[in-house]
Amino acid sequence: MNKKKYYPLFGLMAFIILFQLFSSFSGKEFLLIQLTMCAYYSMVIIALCTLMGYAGQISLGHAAFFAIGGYTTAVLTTLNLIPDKDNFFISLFNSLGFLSLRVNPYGIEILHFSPWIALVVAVVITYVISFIIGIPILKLKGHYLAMATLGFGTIIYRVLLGGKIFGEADGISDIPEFNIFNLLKINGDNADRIENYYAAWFIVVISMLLLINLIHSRVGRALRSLHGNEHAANSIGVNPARYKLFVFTLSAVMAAVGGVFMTHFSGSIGPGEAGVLKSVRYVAIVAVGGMANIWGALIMGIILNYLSLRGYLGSYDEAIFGVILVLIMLFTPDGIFKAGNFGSIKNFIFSKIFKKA
Amino acid sequence: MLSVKSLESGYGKLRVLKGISMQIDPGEIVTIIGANGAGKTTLLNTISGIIKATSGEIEFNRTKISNFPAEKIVKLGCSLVPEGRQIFNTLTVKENLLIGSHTIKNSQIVKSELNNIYNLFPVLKDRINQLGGTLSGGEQQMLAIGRSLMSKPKLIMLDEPSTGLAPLIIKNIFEIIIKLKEQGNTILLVEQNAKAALRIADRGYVIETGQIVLEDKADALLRNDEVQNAYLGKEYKK
Repeated sequence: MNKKKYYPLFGLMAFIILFQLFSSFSGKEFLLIQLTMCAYYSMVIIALCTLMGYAGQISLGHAAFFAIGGYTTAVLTTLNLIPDKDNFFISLFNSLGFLSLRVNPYGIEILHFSPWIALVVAVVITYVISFIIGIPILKLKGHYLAMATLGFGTIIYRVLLGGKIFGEADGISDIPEFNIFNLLKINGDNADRIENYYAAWFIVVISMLLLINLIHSRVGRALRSLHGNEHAANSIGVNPARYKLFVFTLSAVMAAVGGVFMTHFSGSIGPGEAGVLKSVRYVAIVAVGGMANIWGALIMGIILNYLSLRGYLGSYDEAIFGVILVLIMLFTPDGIFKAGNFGSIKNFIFSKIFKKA
Repeated sequence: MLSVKSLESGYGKLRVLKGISMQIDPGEIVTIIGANGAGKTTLLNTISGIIKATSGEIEFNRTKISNFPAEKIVKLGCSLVPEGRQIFNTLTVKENLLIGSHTIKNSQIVKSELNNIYNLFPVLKDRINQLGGTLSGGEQQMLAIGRSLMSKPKLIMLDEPSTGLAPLIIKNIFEIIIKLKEQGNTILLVEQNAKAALRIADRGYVIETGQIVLEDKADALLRNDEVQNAYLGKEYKK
Protein backbone atom coordinates (compact mmCIF):
# COMPACT_ATOMS: atom_id res chain seq x y z
CA MET A 1 0.00 0.00 0.00
CA ASN A 2 2.72 2.38 0.99
CA LYS A 3 4.95 1.89 -2.02
CA LYS A 4 2.09 1.58 -4.47
CA LYS A 5 1.80 5.34 -4.78
CA TYR A 6 5.23 5.47 -6.45
CA TYR A 7 4.44 2.99 -9.23
CA PRO A 8 3.08 5.56 -11.70
CA LEU A 9 6.32 7.47 -11.24
CA PHE A 10 8.21 4.60 -12.86
CA GLY A 11 5.69 4.63 -15.68
CA LEU A 12 6.34 8.33 -16.20
CA MET A 13 10.10 7.82 -16.26
CA ALA A 14 9.78 4.93 -18.69
CA PHE A 15 7.62 7.07 -20.97
CA ILE A 16 10.14 9.92 -20.86
CA ILE A 17 13.02 7.65 -21.80
CA LEU A 18 11.10 5.74 -24.47
CA PHE A 19 9.88 8.94 -26.09
CA GLN A 20 13.42 10.28 -26.28
CA LEU A 21 14.74 7.04 -27.78
CA PHE A 22 11.88 6.93 -30.26
CA SER A 23 12.42 10.50 -31.38
CA SER A 24 16.19 10.12 -31.66
CA PHE A 25 16.02 6.89 -33.66
CA SER A 26 13.35 8.17 -35.98
CA GLY A 27 15.25 11.40 -36.52
CA LYS A 28 12.47 13.51 -35.10
CA GLU A 29 14.29 15.01 -32.17
CA PHE A 30 12.47 18.29 -32.70
CA LEU A 31 9.48 16.66 -31.03
CA LEU A 32 11.36 16.86 -27.76
CA ILE A 33 11.20 20.64 -27.72
CA GLN A 34 7.44 20.77 -27.21
CA LEU A 35 7.60 18.00 -24.67
CA THR A 36 10.21 19.97 -22.75
CA MET A 37 7.87 22.95 -22.70
CA CYS A 38 5.08 20.61 -21.59
CA ALA A 39 7.22 19.63 -18.63
CA TYR A 40 7.50 23.22 -17.45
CA TYR A 41 3.79 23.85 -17.92
CA SER A 42 3.16 20.62 -16.03
CA MET A 43 4.73 22.24 -12.99
CA VAL A 44 1.86 24.72 -12.93
CA ILE A 45 -0.68 21.98 -13.52
CA ILE A 46 0.43 19.65 -10.74
CA ALA A 47 0.80 22.60 -8.39
CA LEU A 48 -2.69 23.80 -9.24
CA CYS A 49 -4.06 20.26 -8.93
CA THR A 50 -2.74 20.04 -5.37
CA LEU A 51 -4.30 23.39 -4.54
CA MET A 52 -7.64 22.81 -6.27
CA GLY A 53 -8.19 19.09 -6.28
CA TYR A 54 -6.84 18.16 -2.89
CA ALA A 55 -7.15 21.31 -0.78
CA GLY A 56 -10.26 22.54 -2.62
CA GLN A 57 -9.09 26.11 -3.17
CA ILE A 58 -9.68 27.33 -6.70
CA SER A 59 -7.22 29.70 -8.34
CA LEU A 60 -7.91 31.48 -11.60
CA GLY A 61 -4.63 33.33 -11.33
CA HIS A 62 -2.01 30.65 -11.50
CA ALA A 63 -0.62 31.79 -14.83
CA ALA A 64 0.34 34.96 -12.97
CA PHE A 65 2.63 33.04 -10.63
CA PHE A 66 4.23 31.28 -13.58
CA ALA A 67 4.78 34.69 -15.17
CA ILE A 68 6.10 36.23 -11.97
CA GLY A 69 8.77 33.53 -11.87
CA GLY A 70 9.55 33.91 -15.55
CA TYR A 71 9.67 37.69 -15.55
CA THR A 72 11.78 37.87 -12.40
CA THR A 73 14.48 35.78 -13.96
CA ALA A 74 14.05 37.54 -17.31
CA VAL A 75 14.55 40.99 -15.79
CA LEU A 76 17.42 40.01 -13.52
CA THR A 77 19.37 38.17 -16.20
CA THR A 78 18.97 40.82 -18.90
CA LEU A 79 19.32 44.02 -16.88
CA ASN A 80 22.75 45.41 -17.78
CA LEU A 81 24.62 46.48 -14.66
CA ILE A 82 27.75 47.72 -16.46
CA PRO A 83 26.86 51.42 -16.01
CA ASP A 84 26.50 50.88 -12.25
CA LYS A 85 29.57 48.68 -12.01
CA ASP A 86 31.21 50.84 -9.39
CA ASN A 87 28.16 51.06 -7.20
CA PHE A 88 28.92 49.60 -3.77
CA PHE A 89 26.18 46.97 -3.86
CA ILE A 90 26.89 45.92 -7.42
CA SER A 91 30.57 45.39 -6.73
CA LEU A 92 29.67 43.57 -3.53
CA PHE A 93 27.35 41.27 -5.50
CA ASN A 94 30.06 40.81 -8.08
CA SER A 95 32.66 39.78 -5.53
CA LEU A 96 30.15 37.37 -3.98
CA GLY A 97 29.74 35.73 -7.38
CA PHE A 98 26.11 36.76 -7.73
CA LEU A 99 26.69 38.29 -11.15
CA SER A 100 27.86 36.97 -14.45
CA LEU A 101 29.22 38.60 -17.57
CA ARG A 102 28.32 37.76 -21.13
CA VAL A 103 28.50 39.29 -24.57
CA ASN A 104 25.22 39.59 -26.43
CA PRO A 105 24.86 38.95 -30.17
CA TYR A 106 25.57 42.64 -30.89
CA GLY A 107 28.94 42.46 -29.16
CA ILE A 108 27.83 44.43 -26.12
CA GLU A 109 29.08 43.31 -22.73
CA ILE A 110 26.31 42.65 -20.28
CA LEU A 111 26.82 42.27 -16.55
CA HIS A 112 23.75 40.67 -15.04
CA PHE A 113 22.56 38.59 -12.10
CA SER A 114 23.34 34.92 -12.46
CA PRO A 115 20.34 32.67 -13.11
CA TRP A 116 20.89 30.97 -9.76
CA ILE A 117 20.36 34.24 -7.94
CA ALA A 118 17.41 34.96 -10.23
CA LEU A 119 15.86 31.61 -9.34
CA VAL A 120 16.22 32.28 -5.61
CA VAL A 121 14.84 35.81 -5.99
CA ALA A 122 11.93 34.51 -8.09
CA VAL A 123 11.04 31.94 -5.44
CA VAL A 124 11.25 34.52 -2.65
CA ILE A 125 9.22 37.12 -4.55
CA THR A 126 6.54 34.59 -5.47
CA TYR A 127 6.40 33.33 -1.93
CA VAL A 128 6.03 36.83 -0.52
CA ILE A 129 3.39 37.87 -3.07
CA SER A 130 1.35 34.70 -2.64
CA PHE A 131 1.64 34.99 1.13
CA ILE A 132 0.48 38.60 1.18
CA ILE A 133 -2.46 38.13 -1.17
CA GLY A 134 -3.22 34.71 0.29
CA ILE A 135 -3.99 36.00 3.78
CA PRO A 136 -7.01 38.07 2.74
CA ILE A 137 -8.30 36.14 -0.28
CA LEU A 138 -8.13 32.66 1.21
CA LYS A 139 -10.85 33.74 3.62
CA LEU A 140 -13.11 33.59 0.59
CA LYS A 141 -14.72 30.42 -0.67
CA GLY A 142 -15.89 28.99 -3.96
CA HIS A 143 -16.97 31.55 -6.55
CA TYR A 144 -15.68 34.44 -4.48
CA LEU A 145 -12.20 32.96 -4.27
CA ALA A 146 -12.29 32.34 -8.03
CA MET A 147 -13.18 36.00 -8.63
CA ALA A 148 -10.49 37.29 -6.31
CA THR A 149 -7.76 35.17 -7.91
CA LEU A 150 -9.05 36.19 -11.34
CA GLY A 151 -8.64 39.81 -10.27
CA PHE A 152 -5.15 39.13 -9.05
CA GLY A 153 -4.23 37.46 -12.34
CA THR A 154 -5.58 40.42 -14.29
CA ILE A 155 -3.57 42.88 -12.22
CA ILE A 156 -0.34 40.98 -12.82
CA TYR A 157 -1.14 40.72 -16.53
CA ARG A 158 -1.72 44.46 -16.86
CA VAL A 159 1.39 45.32 -14.85
CA LEU A 160 3.53 43.11 -17.07
CA LEU A 161 1.87 44.47 -20.19
CA GLY A 162 2.32 48.10 -19.17
CA GLY A 163 5.64 48.03 -17.31
CA LYS A 164 8.63 49.48 -19.15
CA ILE A 165 11.01 47.24 -17.26
CA PHE A 166 8.98 44.22 -18.43
CA GLY A 167 9.26 45.18 -22.08
CA GLU A 168 5.55 46.04 -22.35
CA ALA A 169 3.71 44.04 -25.03
CA ASP A 170 6.94 42.69 -26.54
CA GLY A 171 8.05 40.97 -23.37
CA ILE A 172 11.69 40.24 -22.73
CA SER A 173 13.94 38.31 -25.05
CA ASP A 174 17.62 37.43 -25.29
CA ILE A 175 17.58 35.67 -21.94
CA PRO A 176 20.79 33.77 -21.23
CA GLU A 177 21.03 30.07 -20.57
CA PHE A 178 20.77 28.59 -17.09
CA ASN A 179 24.04 26.82 -16.55
CA ILE A 180 23.87 24.13 -13.87
CA PHE A 181 27.41 23.47 -12.63
CA ASN A 182 28.62 23.34 -16.23
CA LEU A 183 26.90 19.97 -16.55
CA LEU A 184 23.56 21.01 -17.84
CA LYS A 185 22.48 24.01 -19.79
CA ILE A 186 18.86 25.09 -19.78
CA ASN A 187 18.60 26.84 -23.12
CA GLY A 188 16.80 26.52 -26.42
CA ASP A 189 19.88 25.37 -28.31
CA ASN A 190 19.10 22.57 -30.75
CA ALA A 191 22.34 20.82 -29.87
CA ASP A 192 21.32 20.57 -26.23
CA ARG A 193 17.73 19.54 -26.66
CA ILE A 194 18.11 16.03 -25.27
CA GLU A 195 19.77 17.16 -22.07
CA ASN A 196 17.23 19.97 -21.80
CA TYR A 197 14.46 17.46 -22.16
CA TYR A 198 15.80 15.29 -19.37
CA ALA A 199 16.53 18.27 -17.14
CA ALA A 200 12.95 19.50 -17.48
CA TRP A 201 11.42 16.12 -16.73
CA PHE A 202 13.83 15.59 -13.86
CA ILE A 203 12.39 18.70 -12.23
CA VAL A 204 8.84 17.43 -12.83
CA VAL A 205 9.63 13.98 -11.41
CA ILE A 206 11.15 15.54 -8.29
CA SER A 207 8.11 17.79 -7.91
CA MET A 208 5.75 14.85 -8.34
CA LEU A 209 7.65 12.90 -5.71
CA LEU A 210 7.32 15.84 -3.35
CA LEU A 211 3.61 16.32 -3.99
CA ILE A 212 2.73 12.62 -3.78
CA ASN A 213 4.41 12.41 -0.43
CA LEU A 214 2.71 15.59 0.69
CA ILE A 215 -0.74 14.36 -0.32
CA HIS A 216 -0.32 11.09 1.57
CA SER A 217 1.14 12.69 4.66
CA ARG A 218 -0.50 14.04 7.78
CA VAL A 219 -0.44 17.50 6.21
CA GLY A 220 -2.03 16.13 3.04
CA ARG A 221 -4.83 14.60 5.03
CA ALA A 222 -5.42 17.94 6.69
CA LEU A 223 -5.57 19.59 3.26
CA ARG A 224 -8.05 17.05 1.96
CA SER A 225 -10.17 17.45 5.07
CA LEU A 226 -10.37 21.19 4.34
CA HIS A 227 -11.69 20.35 0.91
CA GLY A 228 -14.35 18.12 2.38
CA ASN A 229 -15.57 20.27 5.21
CA GLU A 230 -13.72 23.22 6.63
CA HIS A 231 -15.98 23.53 9.65
CA ALA A 232 -15.45 19.91 10.66
CA ALA A 233 -11.72 20.12 9.96
CA ASN A 234 -11.50 23.07 12.30
CA SER A 235 -13.46 21.28 15.01
CA ILE A 236 -11.00 18.39 15.08
CA GLY A 237 -7.95 20.56 15.37
CA VAL A 238 -6.91 21.55 11.86
CA ASN A 239 -6.15 25.25 11.47
CA PRO A 240 -7.77 26.05 8.11
CA ALA A 241 -6.14 29.43 7.56
CA ARG A 242 -2.66 28.09 8.14
CA TYR A 243 -2.99 25.07 5.87
CA LYS A 244 -4.69 26.98 3.09
CA LEU A 245 -1.94 29.56 3.11
CA PHE A 246 0.68 26.83 3.12
CA VAL A 247 -0.71 25.01 0.09
CA PHE A 248 -1.39 28.27 -1.75
CA THR A 249 2.18 29.52 -1.36
CA LEU A 250 3.61 26.10 -2.15
CA SER A 251 1.66 25.82 -5.36
CA ALA A 252 2.50 29.42 -6.33
CA VAL A 253 6.21 28.81 -5.81
CA MET A 254 6.07 25.59 -7.80
CA ALA A 255 4.40 27.39 -10.69
CA ALA A 256 7.05 30.11 -10.49
CA VAL A 257 9.88 27.58 -10.64
CA GLY A 258 8.29 26.21 -13.81
CA GLY A 259 8.20 29.76 -15.14
CA VAL A 260 11.85 30.41 -14.36
CA PHE A 261 13.13 27.37 -16.24
CA MET A 262 10.66 27.79 -19.08
CA THR A 263 11.96 31.32 -19.59
CA HIS A 264 15.57 30.18 -19.76
CA PHE A 265 14.59 27.37 -22.07
CA SER A 266 12.69 29.47 -24.55
CA GLY A 267 14.98 32.50 -24.16
CA SER A 268 12.10 34.91 -24.00
CA ILE A 269 8.85 35.63 -22.21
CA GLY A 270 5.82 37.72 -23.07
CA PRO A 271 2.84 39.02 -21.09
CA GLY A 272 0.61 36.37 -22.67
CA GLU A 273 2.02 33.90 -20.13
CA ALA A 274 0.15 35.77 -17.40
CA GLY A 275 -3.07 36.03 -19.37
CA VAL A 276 -6.40 35.02 -17.93
CA LEU A 277 -6.93 32.54 -20.76
CA LYS A 278 -3.77 30.73 -19.67
CA SER A 279 -5.07 30.47 -16.13
CA VAL A 280 -8.39 29.18 -17.39
CA ARG A 281 -6.56 26.61 -19.49
CA TYR A 282 -4.66 25.33 -16.44
CA VAL A 283 -7.89 25.02 -14.51
CA ALA A 284 -9.50 23.21 -17.45
CA ILE A 285 -6.64 20.73 -17.68
CA VAL A 286 -6.85 19.96 -13.97
CA ALA A 287 -10.61 19.47 -14.31
CA VAL A 288 -10.23 17.19 -17.32
CA GLY A 289 -7.63 15.12 -15.49
CA GLY A 290 -10.02 14.76 -12.58
CA MET A 291 -9.63 17.38 -9.86
CA ALA A 292 -8.23 15.25 -7.05
CA ASN A 293 -6.10 13.12 -9.33
CA ILE A 294 -2.59 14.44 -9.69
CA TRP A 295 -1.61 11.79 -12.23
CA GLY A 296 -4.69 12.46 -14.31
CA ALA A 297 -3.89 16.15 -14.33
CA LEU A 298 -0.29 15.50 -15.32
CA ILE A 299 -1.22 13.13 -18.15
CA MET A 300 -3.89 15.45 -19.52
CA GLY A 301 -1.47 18.34 -19.14
CA ILE A 302 1.10 16.54 -21.26
CA ILE A 303 -1.40 15.47 -23.93
CA LEU A 304 -3.31 18.72 -24.28
CA ASN A 305 -0.32 21.04 -24.00
CA TYR A 306 1.58 18.90 -26.46
CA LEU A 307 -1.20 18.99 -29.02
CA SER A 308 -1.58 22.70 -28.54
CA LEU A 309 2.15 23.46 -28.70
CA ARG A 310 2.61 21.30 -31.80
CA GLY A 311 -0.14 23.36 -33.37
CA TYR A 312 -2.54 20.47 -33.97
CA LEU A 313 -5.35 22.49 -32.48
CA GLY A 314 -4.69 25.31 -34.91
CA SER A 315 -6.16 28.71 -34.29
CA TYR A 316 -9.12 27.13 -32.54
CA ASP A 317 -6.88 26.32 -29.60
CA GLU A 318 -8.86 28.00 -26.87
CA ALA A 319 -12.15 26.97 -28.45
CA ILE A 320 -11.15 23.31 -28.40
CA PHE A 321 -10.18 23.62 -24.74
CA GLY A 322 -13.61 25.05 -24.10
CA VAL A 323 -15.34 22.20 -25.92
CA ILE A 324 -13.29 19.62 -24.03
CA LEU A 325 -14.19 21.25 -20.74
CA VAL A 326 -17.90 21.28 -21.55
CA LEU A 327 -17.88 17.62 -22.64
CA ILE A 328 -15.96 16.48 -19.58
CA MET A 329 -18.25 18.35 -17.23
CA LEU A 330 -21.29 16.86 -18.94
CA PHE A 331 -20.22 13.26 -19.20
CA THR A 332 -17.60 12.57 -16.58
CA PRO A 333 -17.35 15.44 -14.12
CA ASP A 334 -14.80 13.55 -12.05
CA GLY A 335 -12.35 13.61 -14.94
CA ILE A 336 -11.38 11.21 -17.69
CA PHE A 337 -9.28 9.11 -15.38
CA LYS A 338 -12.02 8.27 -12.94
CA ALA A 339 -11.61 4.65 -11.84
CA GLY A 340 -15.13 3.80 -12.98
CA ASN A 341 -14.41 4.83 -16.55
CA PHE A 342 -11.56 2.38 -16.86
CA GLY A 343 -13.68 -0.30 -15.28
CA SER A 344 -16.47 0.13 -17.80
CA ILE A 345 -14.07 0.24 -20.74
CA LYS A 346 -12.33 -2.88 -19.49
CA ASN A 347 -15.67 -4.63 -18.93
CA PHE A 348 -16.78 -3.62 -22.39
CA ILE A 349 -13.66 -5.01 -24.04
CA PHE A 350 -13.64 -8.19 -21.95
CA SER A 351 -17.30 -8.88 -22.58
CA LYS A 352 -16.74 -8.56 -26.34
CA ILE A 353 -13.78 -10.91 -26.30
CA PHE A 354 -15.00 -13.56 -23.92
CA LYS A 355 -18.57 -13.81 -25.05
CA LYS A 356 -17.40 -14.93 -28.45
CA ALA A 357 -14.93 -17.42 -27.05
CA MET B 1 -13.26 19.82 34.40
CA LEU B 2 -15.13 22.44 32.41
CA SER B 3 -16.65 25.55 33.85
CA VAL B 4 -18.46 28.24 31.94
CA LYS B 5 -19.22 31.59 33.55
CA SER B 6 -21.76 34.11 32.19
CA LEU B 7 -20.81 33.25 28.64
CA GLU B 8 -22.12 35.41 25.82
CA SER B 9 -21.70 34.74 22.14
CA GLY B 10 -23.48 34.86 18.82
CA TYR B 11 -23.21 35.50 15.12
CA GLY B 12 -22.46 39.08 14.07
CA LYS B 13 -24.92 41.35 15.82
CA LEU B 14 -27.17 38.48 16.80
CA ARG B 15 -26.70 37.54 20.46
CA VAL B 16 -27.52 33.88 20.89
CA LEU B 17 -26.03 33.05 24.28
CA LYS B 18 -27.06 35.54 26.94
CA GLY B 19 -24.96 34.72 29.95
CA ILE B 20 -24.63 30.97 30.32
CA SER B 21 -23.07 29.45 33.41
CA MET B 22 -22.53 25.75 33.87
CA GLN B 23 -19.97 23.23 34.91
CA ILE B 24 -18.98 19.63 34.35
CA ASP B 25 -17.07 17.42 36.76
CA PRO B 26 -14.76 14.61 35.67
CA GLY B 27 -16.47 11.33 34.85
CA GLU B 28 -19.95 12.79 34.43
CA ILE B 29 -22.42 12.73 31.60
CA VAL B 30 -24.01 16.15 31.52
CA THR B 31 -26.79 16.86 29.08
CA ILE B 32 -28.12 20.12 27.77
CA ILE B 33 -31.67 19.97 26.52
CA GLY B 34 -33.67 22.65 24.82
CA ALA B 35 -35.80 23.49 21.83
CA ASN B 36 -34.64 24.43 18.34
CA GLY B 37 -32.77 27.70 18.30
CA ALA B 38 -32.23 27.80 22.04
CA GLY B 39 -28.47 28.04 21.56
CA LYS B 40 -27.33 24.49 22.24
CA THR B 41 -25.11 24.17 19.21
CA THR B 42 -23.85 27.72 19.60
CA LEU B 43 -22.79 26.86 23.14
CA LEU B 44 -20.78 23.84 21.99
CA ASN B 45 -19.24 25.74 19.10
CA THR B 46 -18.22 28.54 21.45
CA ILE B 47 -16.65 26.15 23.94
CA SER B 48 -14.71 24.45 21.15
CA GLY B 49 -13.46 27.78 19.81
CA ILE B 50 -15.20 27.72 16.43
CA ILE B 51 -17.19 30.80 17.43
CA LYS B 52 -15.50 33.44 19.55
CA ALA B 53 -17.12 34.34 22.85
CA THR B 54 -18.03 38.02 23.14
CA SER B 55 -17.83 37.98 26.91
CA GLY B 56 -17.69 35.58 29.82
CA GLU B 57 -15.24 32.89 30.71
CA ILE B 58 -14.56 29.29 29.74
CA GLU B 59 -12.18 27.30 31.89
CA PHE B 60 -11.01 23.83 30.94
CA ASN B 61 -8.94 21.99 33.55
CA ARG B 62 -8.13 25.36 35.12
CA THR B 63 -6.90 26.83 31.82
CA LYS B 64 -8.79 29.79 30.47
CA ILE B 65 -9.67 28.82 26.91
CA SER B 66 -12.11 31.59 25.99
CA ASN B 67 -9.76 33.11 23.43
CA PHE B 68 -7.97 30.00 22.24
CA PRO B 69 -8.19 28.94 18.58
CA ALA B 70 -10.10 25.70 17.95
CA GLU B 71 -7.01 23.56 17.28
CA LYS B 72 -5.46 24.50 20.61
CA ILE B 73 -8.61 23.54 22.46
CA VAL B 74 -8.62 20.14 20.76
CA LYS B 75 -5.01 19.73 21.76
CA LEU B 76 -5.89 20.42 25.40
CA GLY B 77 -8.33 17.49 25.29
CA CYS B 78 -11.70 19.01 24.56
CA SER B 79 -13.19 17.43 21.45
CA LEU B 80 -16.41 18.07 19.57
CA VAL B 81 -18.54 15.63 17.59
CA PRO B 82 -20.26 18.20 15.41
CA GLU B 83 -23.94 18.36 14.60
CA GLY B 84 -24.92 16.41 11.50
CA ARG B 85 -21.77 14.26 11.83
CA GLN B 86 -19.73 16.21 9.26
CA ILE B 87 -17.86 13.22 7.96
CA PHE B 88 -15.28 13.81 5.23
CA ASN B 89 -17.09 12.14 2.37
CA THR B 90 -14.14 11.89 0.02
CA LEU B 91 -11.77 10.43 2.59
CA THR B 92 -11.75 6.77 3.54
CA VAL B 93 -12.92 5.62 6.96
CA LYS B 94 -9.32 5.13 8.04
CA GLU B 95 -8.31 8.57 6.80
CA ASN B 96 -11.31 10.09 8.57
CA LEU B 97 -10.09 8.54 11.79
CA LEU B 98 -6.47 9.50 11.21
CA ILE B 99 -7.39 13.12 10.62
CA GLY B 100 -9.00 13.05 14.05
CA SER B 101 -5.56 12.56 15.53
CA HIS B 102 -4.18 15.53 13.68
CA THR B 103 -3.04 17.17 16.91
CA ILE B 104 -1.07 14.09 17.96
CA LYS B 105 2.31 13.76 16.31
CA ASN B 106 3.45 10.51 17.91
CA SER B 107 2.55 7.77 15.41
CA GLN B 108 2.73 5.06 18.09
CA ILE B 109 -0.07 6.69 20.07
CA VAL B 110 -2.09 7.17 16.89
CA LYS B 111 -1.75 3.51 16.03
CA SER B 112 -2.87 2.27 19.44
CA GLU B 113 -5.74 4.74 19.46
CA LEU B 114 -6.81 3.49 16.05
CA ASN B 115 -6.95 -0.05 17.45
CA ASN B 116 -9.04 1.13 20.38
CA ILE B 117 -11.54 2.65 17.98
CA TYR B 118 -11.71 -0.54 15.94
CA ASN B 119 -12.42 -2.47 19.13
CA LEU B 120 -15.12 -0.03 20.12
CA PHE B 121 -16.68 0.03 16.63
CA PRO B 122 -16.03 -3.28 14.86
CA VAL B 123 -18.26 -2.06 12.01
CA LEU B 124 -15.71 0.58 11.13
CA LYS B 125 -12.91 -1.96 10.98
CA ASP B 126 -14.78 -3.84 8.26
CA ARG B 127 -14.96 -0.68 6.22
CA ILE B 128 -11.59 0.99 6.64
CA ASN B 129 -11.04 1.55 2.93
CA GLN B 130 -14.58 2.62 2.15
CA LEU B 131 -15.23 6.31 1.54
CA GLY B 132 -16.83 8.13 4.46
CA GLY B 133 -19.71 9.31 2.32
CA THR B 134 -20.82 5.78 1.52
CA LEU B 135 -21.53 4.82 5.13
CA SER B 136 -25.03 4.66 6.58
CA GLY B 137 -26.18 7.34 9.00
CA GLY B 138 -25.48 5.24 12.07
CA GLU B 139 -22.06 4.21 10.84
CA GLN B 140 -21.26 7.83 10.05
CA GLN B 141 -22.20 8.79 13.59
CA MET B 142 -19.90 6.10 14.93
CA LEU B 143 -17.17 7.36 12.64
CA ALA B 144 -17.71 10.91 13.87
CA ILE B 145 -17.46 9.75 17.48
CA GLY B 146 -14.42 7.63 16.64
CA ARG B 147 -12.81 10.54 14.87
CA SER B 148 -13.17 12.77 17.89
CA LEU B 149 -11.86 10.02 20.19
CA MET B 150 -8.70 9.88 18.06
CA SER B 151 -7.50 13.11 19.63
CA LYS B 152 -7.50 11.37 23.04
CA PRO B 153 -9.94 13.83 24.56
CA LYS B 154 -10.65 14.29 28.25
CA LEU B 155 -14.01 15.83 27.49
CA ILE B 156 -16.18 14.69 24.58
CA MET B 157 -18.92 17.03 23.43
CA LEU B 158 -21.62 15.40 21.33
CA ASP B 159 -23.94 17.62 19.35
CA GLU B 160 -27.26 15.86 18.64
CA PRO B 161 -25.85 12.41 17.93
CA SER B 162 -29.37 11.00 17.37
CA THR B 163 -30.37 13.32 14.51
CA GLY B 164 -31.80 11.46 11.57
CA LEU B 165 -31.20 7.98 12.92
CA ALA B 166 -33.59 5.07 13.31
CA PRO B 167 -34.71 4.34 16.92
CA LEU B 168 -32.75 1.11 17.03
CA ILE B 169 -29.56 2.86 15.93
CA ILE B 170 -30.15 5.65 18.44
CA LYS B 171 -30.28 3.05 21.18
CA ASN B 172 -27.00 1.70 19.88
CA ILE B 173 -25.36 5.14 19.91
CA PHE B 174 -26.54 5.83 23.45
CA GLU B 175 -25.14 2.50 24.60
CA ILE B 176 -21.81 3.59 23.16
CA ILE B 177 -22.01 6.85 25.10
CA ILE B 178 -22.56 4.88 28.31
CA LYS B 179 -19.61 2.68 27.41
CA LEU B 180 -17.45 5.76 26.90
CA LYS B 181 -18.41 6.96 30.34
CA GLU B 182 -17.54 3.58 31.85
CA GLN B 183 -14.11 3.92 30.24
CA GLY B 184 -13.63 7.08 32.30
CA ASN B 185 -14.54 9.73 29.75
CA THR B 186 -16.39 12.90 30.61
CA ILE B 187 -19.26 13.70 28.27
CA LEU B 188 -21.26 16.75 27.42
CA LEU B 189 -24.32 15.67 25.48
CA VAL B 190 -26.58 18.06 23.64
CA GLU B 191 -29.86 16.53 22.54
CA GLN B 192 -33.32 17.27 21.31
CA ASN B 193 -34.30 13.76 22.27
CA ALA B 194 -34.55 14.90 25.88
CA LYS B 195 -35.97 11.71 27.34
CA ALA B 196 -33.22 9.48 26.02
CA ALA B 197 -30.53 11.97 26.99
CA LEU B 198 -31.79 12.40 30.54
CA ARG B 199 -31.99 8.65 31.03
CA ILE B 200 -28.27 8.18 30.57
CA ALA B 201 -27.09 11.50 32.02
CA ASP B 202 -26.03 12.30 35.58
CA ARG B 203 -27.08 15.92 35.47
CA GLY B 204 -28.89 18.13 33.04
CA TYR B 205 -29.34 21.77 32.09
CA VAL B 206 -32.38 23.17 30.36
CA ILE B 207 -31.59 25.99 27.96
CA GLU B 208 -34.16 28.43 26.63
CA THR B 209 -33.41 31.35 24.26
CA GLY B 210 -29.78 31.52 25.26
CA GLN B 211 -30.22 31.18 29.01
CA ILE B 212 -30.09 28.30 31.45
CA VAL B 213 -33.54 28.11 33.02
CA LEU B 214 -33.18 24.95 35.02
CA GLU B 215 -30.45 22.67 36.30
CA ASP B 216 -30.75 19.51 38.31
CA LYS B 217 -29.93 15.83 38.61
CA ALA B 218 -31.08 14.02 35.50
CA ASP B 219 -33.68 11.84 37.20
CA ALA B 220 -35.08 14.90 38.97
CA LEU B 221 -35.43 16.64 35.61
CA LEU B 222 -37.16 13.60 34.20
CA ARG B 223 -39.76 13.90 36.96
CA ASN B 224 -40.01 17.70 36.77
CA ASP B 225 -43.46 18.83 35.63
CA GLU B 226 -42.25 21.80 33.65
CA VAL B 227 -39.69 19.72 31.79
CA GLN B 228 -42.18 16.97 31.19
CA ASN B 229 -44.63 19.43 29.70
CA ALA B 230 -42.16 21.28 27.57
CA TYR B 231 -39.79 18.57 26.37
CA LEU B 232 -41.00 15.12 27.23
CA GLY B 233 -44.45 15.33 25.67
CA LYS B 234 -46.49 14.68 28.82
CA GLU B 235 -49.27 17.04 27.75
CA TYR B 236 -49.54 15.15 24.54
CA LYS B 237 -50.03 11.87 26.34
CA LYS B 238 -53.01 13.22 28.27
